[in-house]
Amino acid sequence: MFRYLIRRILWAILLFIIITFVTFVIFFMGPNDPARAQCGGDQARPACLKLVTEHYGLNKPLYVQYWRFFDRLVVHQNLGYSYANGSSVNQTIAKAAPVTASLVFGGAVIWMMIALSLGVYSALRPRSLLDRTAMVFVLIGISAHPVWIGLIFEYVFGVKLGWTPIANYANFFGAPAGSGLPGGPWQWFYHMILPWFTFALLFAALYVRMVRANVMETLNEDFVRTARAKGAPERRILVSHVLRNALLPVVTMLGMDIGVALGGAVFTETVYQLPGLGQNLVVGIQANDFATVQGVVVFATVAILLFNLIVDVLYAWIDPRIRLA
Amino acid sequence: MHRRLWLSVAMLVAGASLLVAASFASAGTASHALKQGGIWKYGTTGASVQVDPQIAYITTAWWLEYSTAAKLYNYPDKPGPAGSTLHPEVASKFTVSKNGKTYTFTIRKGFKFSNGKPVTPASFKYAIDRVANKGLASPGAQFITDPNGTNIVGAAKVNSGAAQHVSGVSVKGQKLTVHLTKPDGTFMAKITMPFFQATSTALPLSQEVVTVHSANDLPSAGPYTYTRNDVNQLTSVRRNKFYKTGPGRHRPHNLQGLDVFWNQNEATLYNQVAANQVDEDPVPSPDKVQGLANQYKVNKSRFWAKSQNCTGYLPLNMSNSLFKGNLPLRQAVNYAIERAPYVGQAGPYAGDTWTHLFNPGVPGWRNVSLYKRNLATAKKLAKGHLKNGKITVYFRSSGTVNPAQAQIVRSDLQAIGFQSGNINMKGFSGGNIYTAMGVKGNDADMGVSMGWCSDFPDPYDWINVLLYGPSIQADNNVNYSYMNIAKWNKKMASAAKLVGPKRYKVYGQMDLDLMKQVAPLAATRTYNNRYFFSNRINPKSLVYQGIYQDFSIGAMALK
Repeated sequence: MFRYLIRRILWAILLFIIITFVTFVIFFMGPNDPARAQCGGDQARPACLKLVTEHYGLNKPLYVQYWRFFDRLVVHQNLGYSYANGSSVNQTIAKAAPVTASLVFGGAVIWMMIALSLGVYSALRPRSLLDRTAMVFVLIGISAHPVWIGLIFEYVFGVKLGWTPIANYANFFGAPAGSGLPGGPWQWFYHMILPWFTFALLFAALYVRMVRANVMETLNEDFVRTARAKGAPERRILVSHVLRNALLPVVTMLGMDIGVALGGAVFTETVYQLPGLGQNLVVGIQANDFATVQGVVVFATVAILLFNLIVDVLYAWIDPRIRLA
Repeated sequence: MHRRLWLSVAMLVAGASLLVAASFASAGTASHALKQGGIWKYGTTGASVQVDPQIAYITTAWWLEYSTAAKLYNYPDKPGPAGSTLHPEVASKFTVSKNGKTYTFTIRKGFKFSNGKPVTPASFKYAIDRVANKGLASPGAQFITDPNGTNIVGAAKVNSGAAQHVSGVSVKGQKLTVHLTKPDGTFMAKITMPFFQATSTALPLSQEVVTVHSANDLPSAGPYTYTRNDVNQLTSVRRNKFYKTGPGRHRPHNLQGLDVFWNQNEATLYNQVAANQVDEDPVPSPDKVQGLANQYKVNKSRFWAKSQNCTGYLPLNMSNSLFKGNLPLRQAVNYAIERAPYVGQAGPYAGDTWTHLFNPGVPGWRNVSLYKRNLATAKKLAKGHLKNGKITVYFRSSGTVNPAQAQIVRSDLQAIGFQSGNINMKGFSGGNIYTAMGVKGNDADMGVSMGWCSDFPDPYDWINVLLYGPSIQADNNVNYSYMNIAKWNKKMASAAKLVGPKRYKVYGQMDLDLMKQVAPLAATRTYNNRYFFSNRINPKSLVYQGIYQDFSIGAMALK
């Protein structure tokens, strides 16, 4: 088990180096000039560009810049400073990550609630009206883009009905002093309702299908038939025998999907103006702000690798055949 | 020459004094009729801007800085020509030495930073020290270390890291003295840029201030001050409680404050303004503009369109074989471009067609149309001048407007004789076209969807910056036409030394002569800002300040 763990960690480190280096190369392949952001954009002047380029070391060879970045990251745990606004990327990530976490974990609760109720019911009553309606929901959820769904939700529930805020984030722990902005647990919940449902819709659609298939498959297993033959009540069969087995792969998928989503729920954050990792990534790309882009990539990579590592280790712990493979 | 400079400066001061007296009479009545207080909510699709006074350097940043800054001389919160005349603010007056190289400002007492500390001449010296500081890398350094323009004694040394304080700036009592290496007609225009505002010595000399949580974190001496800056989320300005009416301190400050929400989604922001949850959308989508104009009329209530001090143009690369020594072809392009549909791609009220460099915001501009579209003339001029018939065109590939404009230009090039297969179109996302075209020796013959906006209201910022040959270097050029003609270089250098009305007259004529006799570029358009407001705002309070091309925050008021 220990050797297996070391092997997985070494793989994670190698992957991390490859991903960050590829991001570096991609960013520098085009004629991007991050110095422009600080020099007035389109009307940047030569003297300013020279000064800012030297200030950030952008005139150094690519490998030198990458080494500096890697050294700063590993030795000092410092992601650097934004080329566009001078802010600490560590702080940016620290502020953005809770917003994305609010969206992802809240969304995950909603998508699991939808997926479990619809998926199980559809499996128990195949070809019923609700099953067919659930399949239509699945089709819409998978086909419709989150930006489109978000804008429709905003317009209907925010603008027309006025039931929810149209956009923006309210801090769970209260608004900045004197800002006059909404804050606190209730406002946080109130502002997150639409983003949660928008974010959850796609995943819910996928999970409904997965839960339905798994439950239907498990219902036909021998141990379920045996339980029924022994006279166990239907409710107990469902909860103790069917769901316990059918949901195992669902829970595994959930762990991995949350890891990926933490990397930045780009579309939902953009449409609802949530200052999370996804929005920072989009803004960073638009502003040629490589430091911020790389910061989000590093965070996302670590999140995904970490969740994958946990899943791998759990798998190996549950099933010894995997660690011997 | 020195006497003339002196006289011009004296006339400027006299004129400014009269305008100040007049503004006392009018500003008071106007602001009293407006509601006091309230927070104006501004949303923008743009990314967060810098708030450090010596780093802030783009339109939105300067819009905010104009409300927080107290400067030696300033532009009043008034629309039109009244807003483009310099008025004494923290300085009560200034004098210029006979050789035109030494400026002495007398600093008023009574101005205070938002942390309660008084503004002194040292506050301005500190601003210049910070601008020049190497470690801070201020974009403002280029404006005081320019060997061809404004160059403060000792600023270049500080900028190279060899010193900490600019030796050419000294303080004695209430006097601030600035020594230049040579006389400079643009100095007063440049010293009014927000970089050179009164700056608290509490700010670190070589480190940018980014995070703001209170009025003490980034003290400023104007009517407003920053109280919050969460990068890419929220920036707040609130009234400076130490800004009390007095000599030089008569700027309006109707609102309690203003909140800027960054990185807003275009469609969402529009919905929020429509629902009156946000007060201002400065970038309504082009497809919404006509509907807004029909519903609210233009510049009446909730939809406004106002001009920017920017000119769009197609640079024609005079260093590459196609346009080099090829005046007829450069003129042919000017005659061939269909400017109306080109501008039209940006939607209604996006700007006007334009044929020369100086737009109506540039002092000395002339209202003439030099190149009305005339395909017959264009073809005639181009005939025999297409060289090998091949042309490389750089264009901006982002969005829908830029590629559509590139298609129009491509079609116009075909109309004057370039074969479709010989037009090599190269796309660049975002502003990367400027980086590519800024490299000397690049293969572009022309660029599309490019433009220039001035940083300070002087024609030097157009002609000498964009077309002066000796400034060309290996990369990062802004002379995208790579124009370098000795005769014209000499004319530009001598025009830069002029002051007063003659300066503007000479530059105004030079603009037209250049466009006709050299045609280093094909001017295409002017630009407008378009705004959508909530019904919470009072349209009567909207004062469009032409210098920084936005509505004065101090003058704005809610209903």
